[in-house]
Amino acid sequence: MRSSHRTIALGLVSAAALSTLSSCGRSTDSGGGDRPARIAIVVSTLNNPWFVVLADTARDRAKELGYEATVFDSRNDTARETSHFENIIAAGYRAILFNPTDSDGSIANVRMAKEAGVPVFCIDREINANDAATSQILSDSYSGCVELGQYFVEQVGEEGRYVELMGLVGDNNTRNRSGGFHSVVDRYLGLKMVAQQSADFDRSKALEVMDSILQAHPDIDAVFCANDAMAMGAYQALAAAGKDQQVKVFGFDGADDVVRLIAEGKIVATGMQFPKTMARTAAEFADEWLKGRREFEQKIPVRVDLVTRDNVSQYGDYGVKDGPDR
Amino acid sequence: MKRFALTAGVLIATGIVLWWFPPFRIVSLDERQSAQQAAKFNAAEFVEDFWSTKLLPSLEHAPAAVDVLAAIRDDPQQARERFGRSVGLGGPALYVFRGRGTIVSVEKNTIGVSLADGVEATEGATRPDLLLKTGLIFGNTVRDATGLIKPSDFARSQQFNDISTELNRVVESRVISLLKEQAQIGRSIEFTGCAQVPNGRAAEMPLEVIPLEVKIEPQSAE
Repeated sequence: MRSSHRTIALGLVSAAALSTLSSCGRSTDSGGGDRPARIAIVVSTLNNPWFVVLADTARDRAKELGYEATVFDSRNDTARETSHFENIIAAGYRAILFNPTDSDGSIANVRMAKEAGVPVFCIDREINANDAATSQILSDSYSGCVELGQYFVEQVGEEGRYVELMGLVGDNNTRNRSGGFHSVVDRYLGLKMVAQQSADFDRSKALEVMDSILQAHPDIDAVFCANDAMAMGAYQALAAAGKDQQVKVFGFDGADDVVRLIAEGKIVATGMQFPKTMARTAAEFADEWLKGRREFEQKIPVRVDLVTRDNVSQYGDYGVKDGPDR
Repeated sequence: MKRFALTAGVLIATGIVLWWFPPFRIVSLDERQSAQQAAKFNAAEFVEDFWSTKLLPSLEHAPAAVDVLAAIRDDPQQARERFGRSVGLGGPALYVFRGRGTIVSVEKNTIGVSLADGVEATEGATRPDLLLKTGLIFGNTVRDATGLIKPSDFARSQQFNDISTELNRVVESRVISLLKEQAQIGRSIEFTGCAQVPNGRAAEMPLEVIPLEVKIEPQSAE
């Protein structure tokens, strides 16, 4: 009797799990049998306008190409990301356009999709494997920050004290941006980094972190931020402390609010990434894969432009104004 | 029956919780080994071998500087297609070329070279055709210009980027130091170098070139 209870209980757990899966599938995509193939867009966070642009562009391009497209927000949580992948695979999506949360932690999810025959195209962020994703279309963060680092030295001078606000610790873009910047700035021994802290690519966190750093180091000359959301947070903290005229702020992304502040002379420079180019390319690759193409370059770096007050008029709306990158 | 329903309810709830928040994750051995290999990557060792066994031998086939510079000046798009290469989407056009000429200027971070024959070798008399860089070298031009390695060869982009840092150090310590030591206005020079021209923009002339190999003619005895 106990044994039969156990069997029934296990059956119920399985049924519950399957029901969870199928209900998730239904909540993201419903329709008849002859509906278009579905493409999933899994994005690390939608709590940052840059990633909203990335996700929306990928979704819109997939729709233009004739697919149903759904955006899933991982909220910077790899466990949530894993659940999304499980649900997407179970629900029969045909391809995944993927902005990973963690360069190492996200590999297993991509492998899971690969084993299920679902191609994954990484956008902007890399996974540390070149045999899992079908292709990875990545911002060339390192090159962008080399250029930004050279401009930093031009603007701050060969002597000064600065702060670095880093992004998510597990993300390769954090390392590549920091690496590119330091490959230049560290060659100038008069430039001293007085604090280096992570603010998780988050504006509110950057505001708090910068505020606290300013208590200990009120006499800094510059702040290098690994993304524009943090540059906005740092600028806000500096403005509140009355130091926004004295401290030069550098960002990275090319977010619209930072481009506007560069034009106003409040932020010195940013690296313009091209989220729309990356997202569109990923959607087009997925379309080509579904139509039979199988050979893709594994890693495709996408250029980053230095945006300063001198050339800011050429940029806006997350790309070059009126250019093919918009 | 009531007890059974209670047990089933608890099990279902536990199952759902475990489904959404798994207490552990299974990582494949391949993945773990790839992470271990990545941790072992030594960019300096890689570059030492790459520089002598791949990069330097490849320079033998570099096109003539006069042809490449003329093409860049006349039609950047055609020059890119004929002589250049690029990495990824929208990246700069990268060139490798070789030539011989006369040193016509020596500045803090550049050495000007004229490719013309019989130039007047006094300071300021001849405009250089190109500037060999002698300051700090940054970026990926040296790594990417030959096309011998590409991003897809590496599981981690940091490894690929570390190669740039090391290659730039090799250029500074083995090529630029020699160039700075021997450069004098009027001396003949043979060189192979690499340069980049941003995508969609006209090249700034004289073009700045990173030297990869240089040979300066010994000063003749007076």
